[in-house]
Amino acid sequence: MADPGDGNGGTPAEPGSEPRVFGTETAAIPIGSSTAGMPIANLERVIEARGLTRRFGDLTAVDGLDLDVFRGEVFGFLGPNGAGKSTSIRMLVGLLTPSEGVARVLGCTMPEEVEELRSRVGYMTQKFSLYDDLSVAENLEFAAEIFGLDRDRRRLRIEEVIAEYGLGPRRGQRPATLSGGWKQRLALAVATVHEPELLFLDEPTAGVDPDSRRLFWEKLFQLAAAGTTILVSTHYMDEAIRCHRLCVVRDGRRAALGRPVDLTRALEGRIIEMWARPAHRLMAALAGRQEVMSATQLGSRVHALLAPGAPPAEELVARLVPQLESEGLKRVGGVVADPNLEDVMVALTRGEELALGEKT
Amino acid sequence: MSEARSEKTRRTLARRLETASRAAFRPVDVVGRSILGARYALVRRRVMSVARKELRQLLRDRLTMGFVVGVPAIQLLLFGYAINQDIRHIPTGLVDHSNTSISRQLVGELQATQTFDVTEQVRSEQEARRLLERGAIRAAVVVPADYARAYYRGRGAEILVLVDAADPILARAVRASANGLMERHNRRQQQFDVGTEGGARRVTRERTSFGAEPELIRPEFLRFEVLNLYNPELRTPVFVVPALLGVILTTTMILMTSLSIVRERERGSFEFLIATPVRRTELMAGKLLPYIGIGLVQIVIVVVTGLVLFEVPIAGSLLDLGVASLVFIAANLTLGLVISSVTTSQFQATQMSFFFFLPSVLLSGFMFPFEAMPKPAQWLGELLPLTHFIRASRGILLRGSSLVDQLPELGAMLLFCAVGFWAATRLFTKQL
Repeated sequence: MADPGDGNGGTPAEPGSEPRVFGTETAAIPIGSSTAGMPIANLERVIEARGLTRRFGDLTAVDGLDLDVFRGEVFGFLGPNGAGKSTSIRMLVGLLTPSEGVARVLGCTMPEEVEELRSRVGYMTQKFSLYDDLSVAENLEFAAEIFGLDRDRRRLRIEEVIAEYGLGPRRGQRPATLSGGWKQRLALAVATVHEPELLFLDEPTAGVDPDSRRLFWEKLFQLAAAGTTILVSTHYMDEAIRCHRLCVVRDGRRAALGRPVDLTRALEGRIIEMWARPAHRLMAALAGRQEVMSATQLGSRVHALLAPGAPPAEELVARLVPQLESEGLKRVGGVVADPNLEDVMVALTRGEELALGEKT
Repeated sequence: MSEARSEKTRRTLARRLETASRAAFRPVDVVGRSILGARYALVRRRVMSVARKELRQLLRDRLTMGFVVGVPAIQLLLFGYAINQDIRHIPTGLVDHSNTSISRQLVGELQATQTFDVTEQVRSEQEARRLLERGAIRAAVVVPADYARAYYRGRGAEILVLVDAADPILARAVRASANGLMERHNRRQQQFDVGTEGGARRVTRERTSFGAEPELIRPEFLRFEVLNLYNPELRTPVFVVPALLGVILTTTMILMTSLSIVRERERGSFEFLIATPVRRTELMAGKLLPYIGIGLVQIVIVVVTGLVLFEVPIAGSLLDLGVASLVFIAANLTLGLVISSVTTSQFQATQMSFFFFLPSVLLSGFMFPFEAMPKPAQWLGELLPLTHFIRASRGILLRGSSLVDQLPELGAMLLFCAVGFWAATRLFTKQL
């Protein structure tokens, strides 16, 4: 998410500097390799996709996706609506047959061997897909039953997830009367009632308030800590940045893949933040400049991503301040800022290839 | 080019808006006419905007448009051809004990009425009754052994006509036709007699009195004795209730199952369901099971109501009826599944169920006698499971026929099931 401005042109962030790392950094593996940022040493491939493609008529929803997901990681799919996130997930869950390419999930070839896979995988759909006319407990029971849990196991698991997700007071309630956040919790409870090794979540928190989203993600990390591999799609930057690794999808293609920190680091030194009065004129002035790839107004400040060939950020800010003052803008100032995921998205949208692994 | 045009459009629009806003601020007359006018214009605009939106959506739903256009045409065809109370070609069994040229002549006359269609040559009345019970024939004509002798002796032969009166319309048609034939036959005979000996005929009364002179007597005429079997009082409910059983099952079973899967699709739970380990056939079987139970409950309700309120006889075994009903329910359920697999919304599924329901009611023999329909309509009717169930349920309930007698109907329904289930498994995929 964008760095929140205070809206008054007050003290902006200090010029970007390498964050000091205490202790050891997670990656002992070279950054930029596909295994970078793995949380655990055991690099067992849970998902392997090569050239995964899906066409709907003339439309190519997913185009040659290569993907490796390792056991125990929270792997994010980040992309705008229509980028092919849902289609990719549906192919990996076996609900859609790929037009081209191969996918192996937990060692099973998709979609031929999908039935062997079902009970080991959990899937939470984008749209709430439980039964509104069954109670919370009945929904859980149905899921536990259909996933083949025997009676004792079923009872135990249902009580466990009810306790885990705090659904106790709502067990007799119909999902239709639950709020968005509670619905998501129930959906996650249902998706995990059979203790899947691998969990697919398709925009699980769309339309849910920030508090519930935070809680939801806490649960995800608990599941990951318990050994569940999670593939989650989102278009929230604040969620994407929490993933161990992230695949940015654009127009059905993999635009970038790596740890969130590697993705943002690739744009280091190319972000400036300026302020002036009136801010909208500053915005127009910056957006019109060749060195600026894109500018975003944040209250009274403007956050700008510099084009690849632009002069160093500090130099540019120093040059811009007097220039803008001469154009009649008041109280002009600027700093070099830290890149965020939104900048990454913008850069990728403009067709830029991120130079991952240049810096260590 | 297009930019220049859009610029031109923009300017025209702006000019129009300006004139309009000037007009809007025109002073209002005492009666407030222009205010009313403006209000009316707003009302009209809002109504029209809703109407236009509605029409757009309708035109985009191809299936609905198909129904809008197709249903009236099909309905008209079905009604036009199926509604025909003029019963012809009733499958008839002939028991010709006489087997003389004169009895064959009578049979020829019988056939010439076009009401009767002698499809079976039967040896005895008992056998004819069995065939009637089985439903192989709907009427039987018994020519007595002494027909020829009685005819020549002027004693007036009696022809027995057995008719499956479970269907009062059929029974009345048979009676009317028999009476007509009798009248024609006798009148012709009379004319012939008048022509010869002035209203009387010279017949040999007794064969035993060898060498006796033929006497001149006024002969008695031919008589048809029509016997109404199974429903002697010709009560309509007796005929309707067993068929209604099938109609009720058709409506509820097809509609409920056709909605069952498409509802999950619409609500989004389908995606959850197909990502679970449940297999395709397991899912379908699980979907159908409760409806079989519901269908059986409906059967009990209809049979008990028919028994208590309408005094419908239960001539056959209720177990047989139960088995036939189960097969029929299964046939409807598989059809519902097929509909559910090919439609994308509950609305479409409802329409499609109705589309099937309509010919079922019209062509199955529920509303109009099957025998009265033209051949193509009958062929179509044979394709419908309801036709076969109605035959079976009427046979079992009214004529006391057994399940073995109804095997052809049962077989037809089972075939329908098999085809339906095959199609359903083909069309239904555990994918999006």
